[in-house]
Amino acid sequence: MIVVNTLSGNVLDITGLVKRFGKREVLHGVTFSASSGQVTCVVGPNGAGKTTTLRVVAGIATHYEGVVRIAGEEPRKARSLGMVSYLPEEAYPYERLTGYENLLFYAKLYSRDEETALKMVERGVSLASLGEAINRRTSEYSRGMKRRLLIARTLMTNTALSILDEPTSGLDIESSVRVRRTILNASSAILLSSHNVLEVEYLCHKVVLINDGRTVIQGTPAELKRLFSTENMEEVFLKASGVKDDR
Amino acid sequence: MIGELLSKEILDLKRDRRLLLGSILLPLIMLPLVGGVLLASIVHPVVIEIVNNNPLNEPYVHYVGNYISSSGAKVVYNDPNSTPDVALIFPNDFYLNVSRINSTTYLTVEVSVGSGSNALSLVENALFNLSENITLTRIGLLAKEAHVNVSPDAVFNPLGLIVGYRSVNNHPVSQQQDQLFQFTKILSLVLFPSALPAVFFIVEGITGERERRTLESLLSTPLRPSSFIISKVAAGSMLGVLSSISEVLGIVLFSVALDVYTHSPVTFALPFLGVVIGVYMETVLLTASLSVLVLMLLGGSTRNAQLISTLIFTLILLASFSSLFLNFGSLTFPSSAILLIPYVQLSAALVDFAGGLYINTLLYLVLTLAVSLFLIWISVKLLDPEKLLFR
Repeated sequence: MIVVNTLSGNVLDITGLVKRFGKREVLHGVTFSASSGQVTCVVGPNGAGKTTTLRVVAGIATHYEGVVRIAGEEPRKARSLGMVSYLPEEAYPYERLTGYENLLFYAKLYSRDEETALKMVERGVSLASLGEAINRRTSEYSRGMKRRLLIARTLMTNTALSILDEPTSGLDIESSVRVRRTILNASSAILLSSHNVLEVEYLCHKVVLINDGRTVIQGTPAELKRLFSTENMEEVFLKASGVKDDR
Repeated sequence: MIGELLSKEILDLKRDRRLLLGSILLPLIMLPLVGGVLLASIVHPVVIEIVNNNPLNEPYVHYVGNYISSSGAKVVYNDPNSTPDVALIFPNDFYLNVSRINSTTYLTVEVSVGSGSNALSLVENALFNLSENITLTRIGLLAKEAHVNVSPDAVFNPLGLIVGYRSVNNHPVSQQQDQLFQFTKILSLVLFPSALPAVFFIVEGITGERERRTLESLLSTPLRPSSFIISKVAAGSMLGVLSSISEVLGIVLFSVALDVYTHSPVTFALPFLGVVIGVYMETVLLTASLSVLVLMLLGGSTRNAQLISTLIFTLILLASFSSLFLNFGSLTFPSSAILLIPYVQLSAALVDFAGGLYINTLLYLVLTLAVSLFLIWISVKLLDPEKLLFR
């Protein structure tokens, strides 16, 4: 487990992040930060650059310009030091392994000794809340069960920063609620992306709106609602994005 | 971390029974299957029909018929309902022309289209023997007329032939070693294709992770690139060990079947089986390193995996056929440049061992191992999660 101690209290600092795929620039200077012990939500329309930003932070997208620091470390270094855990939007567990074996495999990648790994797994089992199904092969799991397992796998590691890309995407209401509870029970800083306004209001301490590869606005849900003189986050997004509400 | 990933790969492999079974069964049955095809020609011999309508030709007809039968072919006489591979037709005046010292008699041979050269060779050999006997009789008659005391056999066969075998480096070897050499060429033909399941496991181990959406999560962990690549290659190599043991069992089965049906077994010592395992393992390792390098350069998509499979299969075919048609030990430049092609060195290692060129075998194995490890090292240096995941 990595203990993070930053002077600013920020576990993540992004300044002027530019990312290109070939000649096409998809991020044009994203800037925001995320604090320790908080859930920071990156929101925005499809194709805004949310997933690309998360991939850069996770150390998966390695070629970028700008400054990205996770507890003072560059993303690749942070990844190699086990400071980041990441759940992509489209992710699945190993289907020939049981839920427990999946957790154990990842726990071993994040810990130096067997005892720490087993403690991580214990936490993962608790977060996943899959009951006896944890000992069944994940090929037998429903989509919601798989997602819960994967979120537990990401959060059990107690890394400085956990990144969740659309954690409740494609899940039914009951599974979504369970997943959100799991996220709320986590102790590490969480950076997540979401389309779901309800989810954002329920989970996020801080909201970062990205549109067309740029940071449009950031703040707490209460601050943003006050700023745009509205009662709900949906209107905040529409107004901040410059989208006209036809209702 | 290699240990953790390797344990996961082994667990995954143990539960993929189809792949495991394929990796064990394919090498086990490939050689016996090829042997079965060869043995089918013995179990179902070629059919030769001899057509003769003159009873006075019968001593010659039976001589030829017995010769062909003793060579393993089936002989039928004057059977219009038969479907022979070759029909040999004796003319009615055969006996008459043969008995004249100064005449040539003609027989007709009709070859069924597609019957192969073996049937015709059998008939030609039988007629050569008959022709030799007639010639010896004629020489005897001429000697008697000329009142000279000569041996017809010495007159007809002034040259004798004593056959011995030598390796390419000029050491005398036994006929069994020549047999082993020929057998090794067949073995090379089946060895590489039978390694394909293990090879598939390695390529699929990377592209499959991407397709099954497990790779992105895995590459975001503290797992080192070297651990990722080495554990994938190591897992494939472990499957290769299982497959190579099956390959050796297949060789033993083939040898036993050959002994039962032809009474001429291929004999081989343990070092030969050791070289087979070595070549097999290096085939897996070389393929793994080549595949991983191409994946690192081009990206881990299914299309790239198919491209790799095609490339490797082409190289493997080239190596298999080169072992069938070339004698590697005697190649000189520029023909020897073929040894620069991957897999051809492994064919050469096997064939050269059977030919007694042990130093060459060692050299090829060490060089291939060094090249494979070098390719893995480059792959580790080139590993870029972004390229592997998104290209």
